[in-house]
Amino acid sequence: MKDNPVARYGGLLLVCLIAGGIAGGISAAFGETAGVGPLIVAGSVGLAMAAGLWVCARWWRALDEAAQEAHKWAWWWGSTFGLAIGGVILFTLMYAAPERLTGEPKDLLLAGAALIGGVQTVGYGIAWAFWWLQRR
Amino acid sequence: MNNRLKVLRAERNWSQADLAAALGVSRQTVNALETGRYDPSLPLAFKIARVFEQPIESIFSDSGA
Repeated sequence: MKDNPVARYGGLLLVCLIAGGIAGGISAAFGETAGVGPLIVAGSVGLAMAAGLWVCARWWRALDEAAQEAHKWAWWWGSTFGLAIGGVILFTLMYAAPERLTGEPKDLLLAGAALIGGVQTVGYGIAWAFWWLQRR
Repeated sequence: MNNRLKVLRAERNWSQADLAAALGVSRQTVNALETGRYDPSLPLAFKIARVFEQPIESIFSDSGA
């Protein structure tokens, strides 16, 4: 299993699923108790983020230097352009078309984060492809 | 920066994949190096020199010089 990346990441996925199930069980049993809900959410999301970062660190170390450079360049230029474009869309929606923003505050917050993250991801992908196409 | 990677590789009848395996990088990286569109780090340049058993300065030259 140690040398098989599919089995390794499958194992990690299984561990995360079990951790999610345990968190769900604890939430169902004690979630109504005052103050416990945010702790469960913070713990579960923190665990998921830590697992994701661990996978990213292993993946990053396996890349060669040109591949790392492509990602660093894409992270800077692609994500920065994405952030700027996403910001224009967000502020336009906020001030030019406020009638479209009729959801709950929580939904609006998540939609805004998803919009910025989505546009940044698209920018990242375009910049990454551009870096490699320039070096073919 | 200019380099003689393609020539040195051809002299040895190596494919880009062979050189990539010897250097521990991807074939795309070898291609980017050969076309001169990616300059290697010092550690990778030293590794290239070791693989071809030549001094660095005989493989790489400054295009501005």
